[in-house]
Order: sequence, then C-alpha cells, then structure tokens
Amino acid sequence: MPQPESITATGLSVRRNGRHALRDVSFTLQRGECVGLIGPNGAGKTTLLRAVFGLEQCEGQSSLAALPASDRARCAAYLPQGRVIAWPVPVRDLVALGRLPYVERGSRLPTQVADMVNDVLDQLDLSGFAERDATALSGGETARVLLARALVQQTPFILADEPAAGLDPAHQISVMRLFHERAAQGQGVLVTCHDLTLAARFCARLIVLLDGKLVAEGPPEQVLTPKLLAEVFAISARVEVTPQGLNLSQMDVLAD
Amino acid sequence: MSARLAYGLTGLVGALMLASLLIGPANVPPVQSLRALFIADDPLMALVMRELRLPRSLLAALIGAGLGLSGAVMQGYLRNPLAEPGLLGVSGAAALGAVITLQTGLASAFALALPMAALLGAGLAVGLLALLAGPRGGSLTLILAGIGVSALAGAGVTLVLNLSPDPFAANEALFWLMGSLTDRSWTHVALAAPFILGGMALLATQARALDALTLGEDAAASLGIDLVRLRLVVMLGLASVVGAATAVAGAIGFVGLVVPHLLRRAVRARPAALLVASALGGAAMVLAADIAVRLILPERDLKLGVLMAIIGAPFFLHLIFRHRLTQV
Repeated sequence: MPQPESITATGLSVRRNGRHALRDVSFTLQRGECVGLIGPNGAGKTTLLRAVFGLEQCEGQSSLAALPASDRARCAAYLPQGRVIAWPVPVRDLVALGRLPYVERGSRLPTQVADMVNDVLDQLDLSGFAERDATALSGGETARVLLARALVQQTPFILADEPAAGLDPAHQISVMRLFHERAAQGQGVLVTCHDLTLAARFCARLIVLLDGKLVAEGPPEQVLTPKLLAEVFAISARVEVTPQGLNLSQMDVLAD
Repeated sequence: MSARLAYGLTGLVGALMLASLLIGPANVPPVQSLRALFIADDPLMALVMRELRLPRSLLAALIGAGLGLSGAVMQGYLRNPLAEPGLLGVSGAAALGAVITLQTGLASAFALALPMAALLGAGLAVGLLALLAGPRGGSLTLILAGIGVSALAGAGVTLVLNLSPDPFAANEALFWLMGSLTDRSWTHVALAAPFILGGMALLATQARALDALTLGEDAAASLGIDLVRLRLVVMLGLASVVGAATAVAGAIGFVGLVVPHLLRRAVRARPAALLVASALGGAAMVLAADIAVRLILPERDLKLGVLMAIIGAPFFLHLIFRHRLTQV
C-alpha cells in the first residue's frame, strides 16, 4: 500500500453528554513536519487525537480513521496519554508489540525486530532496561518505554499525547528533540504538550484548542502572543524572540 | 513459552494421565491395566479401562485444559489477575439448565437431557450477555453484564431447590452442583469435546489481541486490533468451553483462577504464551485433583469441585494477601 503524504481532518465534532468536546476542527498534517497541539486542560486535545485516529465516535472526516484498521496501524502510531502496562512483561517484549501490525496472523516476530527494538531503546537512553519487568519502572521510564513502542512501529505518522509529561527536564528536551529530528527525516508528528517553551522550540507549527474549537494555528512566533496566552491560557507572559527560538516567561495567572 | 516449560508441562500431563488410568477401585496391577486397554483377554478389565477410566481421564484433561485456557483469556482480556471464567455467568446458567432437568425428572428419563439442557442454558446466557453488553467494544460492560447473568442464574438455581417438592431430587441436584467426573462415559466425551476444543481454538485466535491489550484498549486498537470482534470471540469461546465443561462435570471452580497465576512468572507474564501454558497446567491440575478424590476418600465419593475449592480458596486468599503487599 502506498503511504499517504498527509493526514487530513475535516470538520471533526464530538458531542459528549450533550456538550461539544470538539467542534468543527479541521487541519492537515504533512509528512516532514512536527506540529504541536496545545491548549488548557479540557480543551479537547486528547479527544481530537482519538477522533483523528478513529477511536472516538465523531462527525466529520479523518483520512486516517477512514483506513482499514490494519493499514491504519502501518500508517500512524498512537501514543495514548494514559500510560498502561498491564503485565510485568520484559521491556524488550513490550516495545516489540509495536511491530504487531507487520506480523502475519499466527506467525512469530521476525528476528530483525530484536535489532529494531535495541536501536530504539538506545535512542531513548533505555539500553540497560531491555530485560527488566515493564511494570517495575519509574514514571519517567514507563513513559519512555511506551514511546519506544510507538517509535518501533516505524509509521509515516505519529500522534503522541503528552509524551513529555512527567519527565525530567533533560528527558523532556530529548523527547521533543527526537520528534523534531523524526520530522526532519520525513515523519509527520502531531504532539500535545503543556510546556509552551518546548512546544515553541521544537514544533514548526502550533495548533491551539480552546473549548473544543481550533482558535489559532501557525508558526510559534505568530501564535504565542501575549494576547493569545491571556485569552486561551489565562496567563500573563513575556515573549521574546531570540536566536535560539522563542523565549517565554510565564508570569502569573490572570483573574477573570 | 520456553521449550523447557513446554516439555515439563506436557510431561506432567502425560504422567498424570497415566496415573489417572491406573488408579481406581478395581485394584489391578498397572501392567495388567494398560494391557487391558489394548488387548481384551480379560473382558471385565477391558471394560473398566476402556469405558470408565479412559473417558474419565480424557474428560479431566479436556476440561482442565479448557478451563485453564479460559482463565488465562479472561485475565488477559480484563487485564486483571483476579478474573476467572465464571465471571461471565455462563457456568451458572449451565448449572441452572442442569438442575431443572434433575428436578423435573427429565435427566433420568433421557440420559443426555442434563448436559443438553446445560448447554442450552449456556447458550441463552451468551445471548443475554450480548444483548446487555451492547454493540461497543468495552470490557467493563461485558463484566457488568456477566455479573448480572451470574446473579440471575444463581437465583434460578436456588429457586428450583427452594420449590423442590422432592428432597431426594434436591439432594441429587446439590450433589451434581459440587462437580465430579465419576462414571462419565464416552457419550459425555463426545458431547463435550467438540464444544471445548472448538471454543479453545476460537480463543487461541485472539492471542495477539491479548498481547496488544497489555498496552490498554486504545493502544491495542491503534495497533489494528478489532476490540468488538475480540469481545465477541472471547464471549463465544468462553461460553462454549465453560458451558460444555459444566454440562458434563458440574461446577469446577478455581482452575481458571489459579492456574494462570501459578504459571504467569514462568512465561514472563506474556499473555499469549500464558494461553498454552495455562491449558497444559489446567489439564494437569484437574487430572491431579481427580486422582486425589479417588485416593483420599475412595468410599465416600468426594466431589472434584469440592476438593478444588478446598485447595483453591486458601490459594485465592494468599493471592489477595500478596496483591495487598504489592499495592502501596
């Protein structure tokens, strides 16, 4: 199957308990770009990712959700926000689950998978963890192991829901940098993130959600204005453009 | 599953199968017993071996394998180590069907009435579960539906016993409910085997899905697993295995709970590997228990289900205790 060059969502709306969790959101994600999805708690970021993937009943179209499940699994990887590891399986086996979409029913995982898993574990600073029980890890290690599972899927697109939450600063930066590099290598990345500075540094484009609506979209320096930060996040902030990228100091909460 | 574990478990099942063939009230030396399986120079012994002991050990292995596998599927599907096949209420509904035939006298009028009615009960339970659980793929609704069906079937059984005009029939039903493999024949094997083997084959197709569920329902769905189909197959496969097992042997609990637990560490918790291991382990456990009931109280007809519960319940308590220690 030829892989698509972009994922398009058109007019996605999700209604939950009579209220719109998502209202008429449209966007396109190209291969080779890293897009940040930002917005306050409850803005609909997770709902949007789930709807794009076809895991949520919704109105509107998503080119990804329209694919048959097995093709979809080879087109895009989804890293959910909830970090579930149900059984104490070895980390190596957990990460190898990312290769399931490529295995014919009933056959065993091919041996090259072991090399792929090792490579990804190395990239994520997890090489010493391969034989550990996946349930005996710290929160940050769990997050990185689950990210490794999504990376080993080697799909043209990756949709990651808060991959950096709960990581220490160094690992937060390396995870966002990794997505940035993956985009440079031709993957299309859509990542939700609460750290606006990180999002501004590593994402070429930001999509801002508020109350289920897309309220702004564009390069970080255009989107992250003091005015938008006040309206969407209800914070006051100082924004400077520096050679290293946008420098954002969040000052205080605005009273409404 | 490692080769060592596979050989070990298979060897264990084989040895217990042999022991099960050699132990019985007709105290005959082992060599003579085995000879009677193949050469009928002693017609009575040949009859005992071929018509009593062989179907009994085959049924024990079959039922044990089915229940062990079902337990592993149920725990994998719900991602809960305390889940067991009885949760869906299928065994309860099968028991209700059986108890009704015992009370109405149908069971004595027509030999296959009891197992057939039990299978019918299991079938009705699946229909009810499907209706209650709805079209979406969530596992929680299925479990809630199962608890409902279970309670309803339990109430039905007690109602039948309660209104029983005949204390002997009530007694018979009570004894049947305890679960046993005594005096089972080839007819029972022929009736149960297609359902148990078919159900096991159906459940085995979902091994990948259970592996993927380690990551949770959303991630599994994103890996291409069809959760609606998984739930349907789990429901049908489990009902087929558990319904047929209950139909021919009564309620035998704890196998599906305990066996996957005992073997989880040995397969490093991989859900798919646990399926095969639990099938073998379940066969070994029921064979061993069925040998034990014949050795402990040969004259008193100690029931298999009772012995299982006597061993199983303390084990269950131990699990809860250990679970508490690992939770902070």
